[in-house]
Amino acid sequence: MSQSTVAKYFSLTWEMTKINILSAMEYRFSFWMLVFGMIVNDIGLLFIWVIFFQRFPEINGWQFQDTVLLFSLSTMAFALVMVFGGGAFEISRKIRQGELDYYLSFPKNILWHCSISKTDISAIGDFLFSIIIFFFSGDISLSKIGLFLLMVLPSAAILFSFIVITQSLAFWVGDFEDGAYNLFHALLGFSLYPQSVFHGLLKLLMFTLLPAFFIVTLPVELVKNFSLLNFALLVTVAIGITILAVKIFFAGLKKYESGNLINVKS
Amino acid sequence: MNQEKQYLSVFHYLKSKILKYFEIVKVHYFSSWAYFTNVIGSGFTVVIRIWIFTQLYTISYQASGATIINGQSVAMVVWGLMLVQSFHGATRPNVSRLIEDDVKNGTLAYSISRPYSYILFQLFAFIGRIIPKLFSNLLIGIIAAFILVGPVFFSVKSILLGLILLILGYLLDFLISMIIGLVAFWIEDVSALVWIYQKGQMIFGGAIVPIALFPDYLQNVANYLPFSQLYYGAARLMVNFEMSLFKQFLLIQLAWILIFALLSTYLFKKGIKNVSVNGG
Amino acid sequence: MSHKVIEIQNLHKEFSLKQKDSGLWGGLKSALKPKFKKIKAVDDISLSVNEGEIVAFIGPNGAGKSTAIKMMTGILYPSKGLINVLGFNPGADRQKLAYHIGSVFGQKPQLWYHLPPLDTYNLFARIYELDQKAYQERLNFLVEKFQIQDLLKTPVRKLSLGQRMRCEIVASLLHKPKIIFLDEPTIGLDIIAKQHIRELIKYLNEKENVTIFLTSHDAGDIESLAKRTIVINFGKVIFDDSTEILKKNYIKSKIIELIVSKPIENFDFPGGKIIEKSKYNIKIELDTTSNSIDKLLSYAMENFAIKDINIFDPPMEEIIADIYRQKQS
Repeated sequence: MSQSTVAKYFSLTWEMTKINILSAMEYRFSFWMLVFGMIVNDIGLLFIWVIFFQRFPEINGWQFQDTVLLFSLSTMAFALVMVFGGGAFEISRKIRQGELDYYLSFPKNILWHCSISKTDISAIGDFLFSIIIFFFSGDISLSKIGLFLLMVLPSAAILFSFIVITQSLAFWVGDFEDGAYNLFHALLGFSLYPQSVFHGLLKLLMFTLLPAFFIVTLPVELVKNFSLLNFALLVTVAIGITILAVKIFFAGLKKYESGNLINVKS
Repeated sequence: MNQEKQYLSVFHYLKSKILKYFEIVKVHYFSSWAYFTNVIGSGFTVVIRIWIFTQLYTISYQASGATIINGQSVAMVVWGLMLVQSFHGATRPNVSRLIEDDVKNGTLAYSISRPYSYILFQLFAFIGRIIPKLFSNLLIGIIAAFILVGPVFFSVKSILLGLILLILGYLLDFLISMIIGLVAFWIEDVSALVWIYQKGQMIFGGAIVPIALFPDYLQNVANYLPFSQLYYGAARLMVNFEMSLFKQFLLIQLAWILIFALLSTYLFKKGIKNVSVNGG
Repeated sequence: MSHKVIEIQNLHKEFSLKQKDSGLWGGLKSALKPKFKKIKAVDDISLSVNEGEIVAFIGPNGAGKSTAIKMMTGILYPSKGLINVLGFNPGADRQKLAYHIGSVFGQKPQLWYHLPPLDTYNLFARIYELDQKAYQERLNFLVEKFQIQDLLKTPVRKLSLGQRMRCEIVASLLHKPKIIFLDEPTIGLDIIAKQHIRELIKYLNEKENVTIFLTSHDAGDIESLAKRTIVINFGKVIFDDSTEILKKNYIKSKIIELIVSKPIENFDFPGGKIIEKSKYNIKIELDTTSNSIDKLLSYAMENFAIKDINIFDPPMEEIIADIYRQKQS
């Protein structure tokens, strides 16, 4: 892709997201309730750990402040994905209902178009929450802020790719909405706990099937203790899994275009 | 028709409705591929969650250097959490949402002219939904907990008395959810209340951190709040029975049930009156 | 000099649908050893369309219409055969082709529901990478012609169906497509709105030589817009000629519905068969070869208290049955 194409897609993404948000703001009350509701929701989740760390102040080097940083980073990555790529979460449903046809009639990349077609408004609440609590995650330095912003991007990319891959399984399996949903929530589950407790087979799972290690564990560790090697690893994984996700989606799209899907609507 | 006969006929009517519903669902859904993959999917999530709890509390206990904290071993904690999550997980779909829909689309208003109590009907439907889900949750949960932390001692007494708390807990959950749904008579969207209630259950319902592990001052507060009296009370007592605790929880439960039963009846009547006055 | 914009040769499309038995065992069986059923949706179609033509593409539901159109727009790829649209192979060059074609699907709107049409238009201008100045000129032109100045800033959800359709069609025209695929463009509209939209489509075709591929169940759309009609059934083309000939040879009756304010005692008109009658409503099937609609209407107006009149074509199934019958004889 040429440089100007990339630039075009970026500015179009911005335009589309703006229009999504404007559209949602037509319902003022709902809009603000979703945003503030989510902030309250996230605070509630964090409060559980306030209680937990009263009983267990440190677990293998992990303290409450680390959980705050963890929450901040994971909600930020999640917010980025759901604001700019909320449509990725609906791929399975759109396959089942034949709604991908709509995107096929436009002269733009279908995965991109489908992904940016929806903005999850409550994720704006996650975004704000992330920023607020970041300032409670210990010493704040310019470099820490810089590292945080740097780590959020590969984290969001891997999360996005995971969603695309699991949702795209519907091209082959048929109705996989619930399946993808369950996998996503299993993945998200890992992102709330002190990362120092995971070991053994479960940790292996976090490297592979449910890549929470690369979405939360490693990025948080890198913000606390930056190492070029680990960062290179994170970026490599991010690029690799993104390429994989794109390949899987378009392979599935070929199948969709053959019209042979179980539930194709003619 | 006298009171007794009236309630009997209502009961038979509801029973036949629920049985019919169950038959239809059984034929179409329970034997379907979608149900099978759904069970596998949510089963997988359950196993992961219990596994995470096991690792979390094993390591945390190790770090604190204790094997028993407030009478709870790691195994008891994990079994307790598994039970809470299994009990709670059986209550989907959300009753508040269902009530909210019925308020909004007028079904509730129409139910006044029917020869049965709307609230009772919803309660029976609630019970009907819980039972299959509860069994599948418990089946998977018990196997997973057994494999991961080994067995925990259950006495017949603890299970039977715990069951009482569980049944009352379900009743309490139903009442609170109904109240939230009924608020739809006055508020456009009850989502905020639903979220607050869910968070309350997560924090003070011992779903992730058992209340027994709370700092002492917070434990007392939590035990008196309704959230802990839904599923935590039952789980806690099944796993580690204490008669004095049982009596305490039972009293607190009954108190909250009384309060919310009165509140829900009041809101229901007021809401209906609102509808008939304003035309809905 | 007219050149071909759509060229289709021996087009085939076969679907292999997985057969799934119901129930748990059925699901397992089909995952391990899948059974497929072959469905032939498009069975050897050949046709070509010249620039500037308005073609009606009709047939019963399930006849293969949407499958054929999806192959022309690149949404589905064919099993066998050649398609060439504006020099592109739609399956392979879908994105490139998309810059030059437009589509309006009556049932699937393109405009954002909660926002004014202008927001969607501006967005489309960016998606289709239109030069800003050219876009503004184009927009002004279309707004004036379609008379939607007052609608531009109103949220789409507040527009009437007719207004919405006009705005939808404008959306599909912003990027000056050379071919437009219109699917049920007047569905649900009243007779005046229908007329208006038809005039606009005709105007566009005349002024800009836009090729129009129209699918509609509304005979009025077809008669007033399309000079040429293609009838498709069971994936095959069974008629491809001028709409005039279709009318003359196959549409030989009309159904006239009269709604009256005083009940009709006796209805007697040569060539008119009563097919439905209730107190204030009567449906007559008129054999148009033996008598004309005008005469029937005059008869009706003279003798009865007419409140409303509806005129229908014979259902598609009948026309197609007639085509088959005539072919055999």
